[in-house]
Amino acid sequence: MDEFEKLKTTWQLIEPLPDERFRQLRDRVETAQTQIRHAIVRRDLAETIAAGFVVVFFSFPLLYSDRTWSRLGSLVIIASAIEIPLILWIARRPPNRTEPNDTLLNQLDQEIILLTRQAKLLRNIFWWYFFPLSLGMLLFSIGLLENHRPHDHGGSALINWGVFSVMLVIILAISIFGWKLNRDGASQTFDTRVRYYDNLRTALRSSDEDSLSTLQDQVPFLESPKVTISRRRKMIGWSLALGVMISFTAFGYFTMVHFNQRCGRWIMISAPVTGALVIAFSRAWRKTNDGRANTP
Amino acid sequence: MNASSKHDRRSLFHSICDENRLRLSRIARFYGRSDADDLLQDILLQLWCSLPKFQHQCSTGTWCFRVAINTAITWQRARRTKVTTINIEMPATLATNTASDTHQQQMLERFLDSLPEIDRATLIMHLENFSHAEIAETMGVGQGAIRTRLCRIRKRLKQWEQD
Repeated sequence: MDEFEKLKTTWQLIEPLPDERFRQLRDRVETAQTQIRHAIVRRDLAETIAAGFVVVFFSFPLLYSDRTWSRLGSLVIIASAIEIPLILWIARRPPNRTEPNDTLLNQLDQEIILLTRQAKLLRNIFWWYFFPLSLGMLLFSIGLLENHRPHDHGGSALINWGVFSVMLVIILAISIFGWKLNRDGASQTFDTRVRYYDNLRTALRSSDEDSLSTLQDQVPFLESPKVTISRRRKMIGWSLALGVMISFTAFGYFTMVHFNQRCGRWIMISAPVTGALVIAFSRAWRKTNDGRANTP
Repeated sequence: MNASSKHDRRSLFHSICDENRLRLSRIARFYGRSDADDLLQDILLQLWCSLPKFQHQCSTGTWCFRVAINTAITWQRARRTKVTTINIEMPATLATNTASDTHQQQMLERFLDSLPEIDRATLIMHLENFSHAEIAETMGVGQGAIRTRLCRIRKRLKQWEQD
């Protein structure tokens, strides 16, 4: 008889972790790993599709407009629309080729590199996203102003420049809002995880007992979901309001230039009002849902 | 099955976890002691991260065990668990075991702790009913070397029991 048989029996007697606890840990790891990856992939896909639309849309003025500013603006916008998915794709590609059974430390290094790239990307979003697009829009708008001089359509130069200023303010507001939102997102989503993985790496490399004992407090996937949901709803509300404002302004401008000045002007004036209404509704909706979430 | 596909990765992860739950738990309990949860989370994280690189050249059980044991050894090295201070947290259900069982377990764990790292991993695999071929594959050595190593451990066990 194998001398190890007795040991085998004893070894099998080691009580496994409860099934429920095991599942919880498995799901926690899976959720933490998949959620963030899916979010990144979804974002990149949405950006790529949006970029495709932008390229198609601005190809027409680039090819057919007789105004230099409009063509230049369209060119800048198209170039930005091509550049943005490229940058996102570069940031998402795996850092290094690894062996099939790499050590945990190497895996953590890879994970940290990926997450750090994403955080950096969001922090610098103004320069690679908002700045080129805003510049393109600005040049394009100048071209439109040039295209529709007051004497051609009987409008007022003051109104045209007023409309231009409103657009400029909106573009600036979107850029600042988007930059702030992404900067906050970088610190909330990626920095917390990078810190966790970094601490885990340090703990694995060093013999410092305290560093591991403090790890549990820093596990990012133990965040309160209610806070996250509330924050996400707030972001959705603001983004929706901004989207509505941009659409109304753009549509109003288009109507004013091509069809009816008075109608276009009213549509543009209603843009901030509609935006404010959307924010008010989203706030009420958020409060109702948060109240419901607090109800036992 | 292609592990690179997201759905496949998820289902493969689930099936590997379910199939190897007891093994993974035992490794986490043995190497992690009172921090078994922490170690198990790290093992699962490592499994999830390594899954796309799993080539299916060996069985999922062997691969899973290899990843788990590597993670556990790295983890233990970092903690530098002292062999002399063994204090395994026994779960409540184990209290129903006889005093003799508990004693046997403590003896086994003490013996395992007295072994060098590689010998310990070899013996654990043997106790987990892996074949010599599977152990050899995991350790990256020939089957002959595994037989020799187990023979050496057997002798050491006899001597240890006498002491």
